Amino acid sequence: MEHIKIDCKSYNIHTIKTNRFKTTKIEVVFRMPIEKDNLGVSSFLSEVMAQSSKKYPNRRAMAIKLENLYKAYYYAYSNKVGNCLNFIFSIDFINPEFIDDKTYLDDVISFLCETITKPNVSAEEFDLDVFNIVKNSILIDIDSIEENAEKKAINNALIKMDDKSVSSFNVLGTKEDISKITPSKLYDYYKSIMNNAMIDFFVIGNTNMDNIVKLIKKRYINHKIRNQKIDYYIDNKTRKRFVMTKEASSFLQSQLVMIYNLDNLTKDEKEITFHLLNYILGNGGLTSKLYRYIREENNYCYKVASMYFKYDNLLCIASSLSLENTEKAIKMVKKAIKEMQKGDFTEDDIKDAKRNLLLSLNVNKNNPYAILSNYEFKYYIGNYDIEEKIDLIDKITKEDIIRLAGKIKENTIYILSEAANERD
Amino acid sequence: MKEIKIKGAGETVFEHTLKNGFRVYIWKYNLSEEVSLSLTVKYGSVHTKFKVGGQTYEVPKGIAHFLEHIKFNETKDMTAHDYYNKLGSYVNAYTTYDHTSYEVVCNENIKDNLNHLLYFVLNPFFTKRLIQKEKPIIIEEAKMVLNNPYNIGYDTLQKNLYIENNKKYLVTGMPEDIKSITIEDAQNVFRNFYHPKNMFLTITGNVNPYEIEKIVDEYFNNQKFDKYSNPEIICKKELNEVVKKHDEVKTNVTKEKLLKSYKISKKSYKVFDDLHLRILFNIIMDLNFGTTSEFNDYVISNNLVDEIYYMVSVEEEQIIITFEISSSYPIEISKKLDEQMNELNCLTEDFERKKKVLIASTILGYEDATDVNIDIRNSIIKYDKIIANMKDIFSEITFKDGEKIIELLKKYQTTEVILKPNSKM
Repeated sequence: MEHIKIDCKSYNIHTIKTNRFKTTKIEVVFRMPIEKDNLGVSSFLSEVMAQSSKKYPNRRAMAIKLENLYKAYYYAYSNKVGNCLNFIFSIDFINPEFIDDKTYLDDVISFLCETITKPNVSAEEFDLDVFNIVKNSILIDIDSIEENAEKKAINNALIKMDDKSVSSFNVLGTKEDISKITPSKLYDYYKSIMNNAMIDFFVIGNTNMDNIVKLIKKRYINHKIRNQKIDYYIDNKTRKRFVMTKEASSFLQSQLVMIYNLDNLTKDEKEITFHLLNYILGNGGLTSKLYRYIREENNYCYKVASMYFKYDNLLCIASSLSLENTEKAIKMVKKAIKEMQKGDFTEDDIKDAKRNLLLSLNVNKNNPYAILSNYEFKYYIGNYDIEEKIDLIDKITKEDIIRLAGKIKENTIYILSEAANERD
Repeated sequence: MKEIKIKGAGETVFEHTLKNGFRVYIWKYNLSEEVSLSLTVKYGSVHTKFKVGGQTYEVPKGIAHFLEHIKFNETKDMTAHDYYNKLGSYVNAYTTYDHTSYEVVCNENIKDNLNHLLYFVLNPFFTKRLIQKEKPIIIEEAKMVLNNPYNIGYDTLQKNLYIENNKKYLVTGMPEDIKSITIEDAQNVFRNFYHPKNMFLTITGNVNPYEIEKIVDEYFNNQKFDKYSNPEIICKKELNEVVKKHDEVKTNVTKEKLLKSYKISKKSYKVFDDLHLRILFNIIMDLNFGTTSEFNDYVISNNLVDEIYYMVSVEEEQIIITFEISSSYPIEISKKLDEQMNELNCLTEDFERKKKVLIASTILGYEDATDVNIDIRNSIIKYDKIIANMKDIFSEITFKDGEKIIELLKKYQTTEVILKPNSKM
């Protein structure tokens, strides 16, 4: 794969040429530091721009245009990665070599760039019809977390951990944030992003990259030079021991969430070692400690997830089970963590974890999104790319994993109890 | 070995059939970093009653899924998970209404991975203790399924939609079904359905088809299998009526949702085979309810509906179209759906645009080893063959076919479920 970065002064174009895929993907990323007040407006704006532009003023017009582009897949969204707010436009389209249409590539790039630069705005306000549709759907999305027991429990656990931490903020914002947004305020925010955010175009595929770069430069004109420093990693507050909260729900099954801080991890620990540790602890399926203790030996649950929130410096363990088994499951999680800290795992366990991490990294090479994401974070904050990670895996020792396990610190236990149990 | 050339995609799928009836499908893709293997048993959750040699057996609901779980046990303290963990491969399985698939993803040691997949699925190790151990785990899984309000809604919808079809029951079975499963049930199903003749293997990725053929041949040459019992599945023909037309469920939704199914008899559609029915009904539904339709535009723009999804299922006796709609006005939307179903339309220009998209999809179909593996599996389950000329089929369907689908749609039955927020929400 050939990586090239082109500096266009106010933005960069990064191309990754590979013959692996029959589609080409272009991602345009606007990056800025997160402010709590901007999350709602950012998700609102991304949804409006996913559904409309000046030329294609509603969802239907846009969908028809995309079908005419051989079902190109376009979407816009905002997400948070640690302290960074990303505002992303993305389009996947069939490699032009398969299409008997000489203007196809230009049509795709024009569509993408026009959608970004010519939104559905009149008199400094976004179109009210699309605005109202999106407002309604975002309010529903915010509410919908109540319908998913696991998501609700994890969300509540993060809020109990620290409701001022960026980790606990909902990327959709709050209903209050959404209700304050007007079509003109939305346009002000649009201008602010276009003028202040750092912009990068990422292209991956088997297309003529010189041609793509030429077309982007022609279709995307932006002269404002910008440079912001973003510290991606969130420095979450630590606690001496767990604080536990139990809340009632009308769900049929209880949810257990345990949050741990990860204190001062080095680059290698974040990029490689933690994945190995987590595989042995709980992410490695039925052979991991958590699955063995909670599911296989005691039959308390079907699933237990051990999730590494890398940019939040957090480890989150979650399981769905009967309330009567939650106390016992908590003891087993604590036991598993303690064993990791004491080095109570074998060299064979490490070898298995390494082989499995290697498989995941290799499988990532089949996914354009994963390749782009790896490349993006290497460029943004100097993360290792896939090949560098593969080279480093073998160097990690048992002592490295034990040292890292020592940095896992107790923070929050949250139980969302099943129906018929009252709040403690 | 038979070479099946996939038109439009420029790809080849190899098909190898062994003397015992076991079939192997291989797609070679040099650029793939992963190899995806799946061993599929044509036995799913609906197959609970069958006849072998004049004797009729009825097994508990959920047995197919239960068997999928306990098949991973290789000895009293060794599982297939342990083996694949050592190999650095990923192993999993799933059960549907009509089949069970065991999957492995790897990028090296293909021979070990393949041999062990055949070994652990085809060799039984059932003990009373392991069966008892698995029950509470599967009950928690079933509870997890029912903890999702949409699943509760779909479960109710299926129960109201089907009179005879076992699709009205959860794939996992309910806790009382799971508790009733015995070692004899597991042995019975395994003996009659987990036979090479009732199974097929699919391998996709960077592999040499001839080496795969050799490995599979060697494996089966060294194994002895009983004669296939050729079990006859007993199921009554599904009727065109529904059990109940309207139902309401209070559950953990924040806003009302409408689930509605249209049950359309296939009798009027004898001119079309199942493949054409799937393609044409999907196009017609897309034209009338998809994001490019006037109906979708109208209900979304007027805030009558927040989201609208549909799916088409072509079954033995009927075509089932199911809508999932989030709306504050479920009763009104239900009526509007009926109105639109009674006035389906199809314009030449729109029909041709949908065709163009489908033709382009045949080029993109062969890109990802796991996706292609799933597509091959589905094709074998649905049609018992690989459809090599999909591009031609898409090219040859006509606007008149679309009109015919609408013209023949005279009668249908409906059932709907409205999900309402719990008072506690």
